[in-house]
Amino acid sequence: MTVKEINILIAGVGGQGAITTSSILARAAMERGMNVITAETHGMAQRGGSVEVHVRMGDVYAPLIPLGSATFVVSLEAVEALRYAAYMTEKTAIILNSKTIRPRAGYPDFEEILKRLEGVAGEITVVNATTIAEKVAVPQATNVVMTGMLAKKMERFGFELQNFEDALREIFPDKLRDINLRALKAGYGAME
Amino acid sequence: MLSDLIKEEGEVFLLGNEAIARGALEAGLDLISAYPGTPSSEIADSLAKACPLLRGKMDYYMEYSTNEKVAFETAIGASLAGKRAMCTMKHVGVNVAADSLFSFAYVGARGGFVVVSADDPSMHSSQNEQDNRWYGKAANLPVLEPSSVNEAKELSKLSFEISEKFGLPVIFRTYTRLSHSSGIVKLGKIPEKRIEKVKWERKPETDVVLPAHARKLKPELQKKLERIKNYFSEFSFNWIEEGDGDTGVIACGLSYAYVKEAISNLVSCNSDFDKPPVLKLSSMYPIPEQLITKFVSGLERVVVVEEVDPFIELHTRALLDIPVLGKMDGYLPMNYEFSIPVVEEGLARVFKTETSKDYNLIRRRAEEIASIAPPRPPVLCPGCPHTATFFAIRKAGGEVFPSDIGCYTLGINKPLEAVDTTICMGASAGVSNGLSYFIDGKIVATIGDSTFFHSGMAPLTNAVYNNLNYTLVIMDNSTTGMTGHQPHPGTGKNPCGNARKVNIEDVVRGMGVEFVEVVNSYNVRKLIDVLKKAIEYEGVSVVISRHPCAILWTRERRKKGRITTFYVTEECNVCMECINSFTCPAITFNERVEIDSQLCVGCAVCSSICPQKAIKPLKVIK
Repeated sequence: MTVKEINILIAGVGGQGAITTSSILARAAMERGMNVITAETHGMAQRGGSVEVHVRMGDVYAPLIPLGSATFVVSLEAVEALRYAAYMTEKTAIILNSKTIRPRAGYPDFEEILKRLEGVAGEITVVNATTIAEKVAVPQATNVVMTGMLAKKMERFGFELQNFEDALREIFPDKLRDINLRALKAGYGAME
Repeated sequence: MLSDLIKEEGEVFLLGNEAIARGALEAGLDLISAYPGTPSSEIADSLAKACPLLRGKMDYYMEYSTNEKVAFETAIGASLAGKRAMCTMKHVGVNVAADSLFSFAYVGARGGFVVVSADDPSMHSSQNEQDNRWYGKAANLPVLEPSSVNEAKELSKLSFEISEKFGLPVIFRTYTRLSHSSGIVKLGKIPEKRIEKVKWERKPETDVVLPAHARKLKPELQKKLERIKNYFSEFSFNWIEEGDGDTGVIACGLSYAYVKEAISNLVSCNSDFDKPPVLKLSSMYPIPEQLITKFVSGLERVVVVEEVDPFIELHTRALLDIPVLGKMDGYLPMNYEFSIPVVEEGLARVFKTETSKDYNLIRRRAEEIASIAPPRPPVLCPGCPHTATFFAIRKAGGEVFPSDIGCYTLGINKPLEAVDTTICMGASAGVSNGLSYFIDGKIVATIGDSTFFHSGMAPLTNAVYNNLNYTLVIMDNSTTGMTGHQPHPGTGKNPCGNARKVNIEDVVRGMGVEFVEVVNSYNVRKLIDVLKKAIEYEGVSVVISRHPCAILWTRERRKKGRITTFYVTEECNVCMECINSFTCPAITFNERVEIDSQLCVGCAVCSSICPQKAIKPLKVIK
């Protein structure tokens, strides 16, 4: 199966593990022999601010996803997805964590968030990934649970769960491996 | 990832900055010196981590220098000893090192010398958007710019050879979007190498830039530049891609990636649009005139795509007698970083065709959708000692607040509002000197510990010498926080070798400051008392507010497994002091004041400033 291009945007708040998620995805793509480029946020912006990481696979050169071209948006926090509507199209599938992190400036109604996203993206899957992470691992593994969900979605591009498991083994040190494998499988299972 | 950085062979996934570091390793680097600064930091950080792991196989020295000028000069020393040296810094760091850069251009490199300048288009983490290719032009030095992560590795390695071949220091320009992108890198061999001491060879005719010598060295430098200009016309990282039509595209550095995809998009949506010829450039200065002349033969016009300033565009305009399009006549934007859509829109204007998507519509629609998303600006972390210090400064009666570069610049925000000026590294003390002559108000300047060693010492000495009157608060969190916790002289640590600790209070007293006090940042009451005395003191006074960075402090305690968090008791009368005067991301207000135990790190500062004594330690939970 030849895939020309897969664009994945990971949105979240500093400290939620968006960069780790992109590392797993990148290595999964390499397992499949695909070219891959990621773009990260570093520096001052990380201190509790909004964080976006771009992952591009296939026949691509530039690090950032072009506007209106995201295949997937993985939003580790609910409202964060709204900020990246420019990358979405009717072909975009969003995986949205229903867990909220409320800044002091207030927070919109969850239904309103969904309504707005529905107007721009093709498909939205809402899951409380943090609850799943708490159940099978630790809340900090929310990003890995969501990676598992994405792994299921990426089967239509020929990806297998095994690719993500192998990637995960490369990224995490021994003592964190099992707990994260559990989180990955739980996320994958939640989409079945 | 560190294990990939030092892997022997194969294909690995590296951060752009790691790729630059790997190139230096494959070149058999002898010394890396750096002052951290986003987006450059991970080059030196990864070489710092690799250094002990490679010892005995590929030996090199690694140092975090006190500032960029020192890093540059340390690297000069290595080069003059015939060794290969790299120094890395953010774009504005090159301003600090510029004095050395201009003179060393005359002296010339002996061992390969590479200065990495990490520019920051769009100013993600910087105070300006300067384009450091101008340093090449101004100092007569070659400038290289890679177009991808893999190429960053290859060019970094080759830069050392170019430097030695032409006897010139090389400026290697990267930028945020490349330094903080990751891609697949094909690894080459890391050579086996020991470091041996060498005999010093005197060459005063080149190494001492006396006017008499400099007058001879300048034409020599120009000859070297002429030779390298010809070399760049045949350079394997510059190439021409055939295409149709009478308009060519010159794509510089990473803009090549944008051009490739933009053209492919335009071809996909316009049946009458043919792929134009493209000249991909990775040598930015001197301009490869023969190559550009060859590229445009038969073309009617050419468009230059490059980030930040119209640098190649200006030079190409001077070189060619056909129209040169780009930023100067508005085809491409003058400011901020590029992307595929921005370049596609620019090329669509040049070729009078349609973009593959209506990007403006997409932007407008997205703006409307995002309008209900609450802002989430970066904030000082829970437990940040800077918050306590700023709070104390306000309570002690400070009125004018020159500040500096670091996490603490965030003290500009409400409710602290204890940052009035931020210019560049060290300017807190520098600007205070001038303000103290004219401003009727209590000046309390703030500077970080690493910034103090970087460039705070000279302006403070100036204040002692000229008998000026202000208070300098050195916010000593015992690390270089914002750039990723690098060590500095005050920490007494060195990732790869021996280090000695330099005490800030000893330094300050040694300079002749007579009022010097050291206070624990979390002891707010004492801090306020000491600050009041410092402010009343006639002359320059220094208060060192000291507590480890909350991130490191918390990480350390978490390893030991015990952090006591705090909660708000029923005694709270919602006076809002902890929210409206002090502030902490862990303290929230929703009808009543609450502390998020997930975020609280147990610094106890809120508890100590609560007028009702309504904040108490919770059970030990993490």
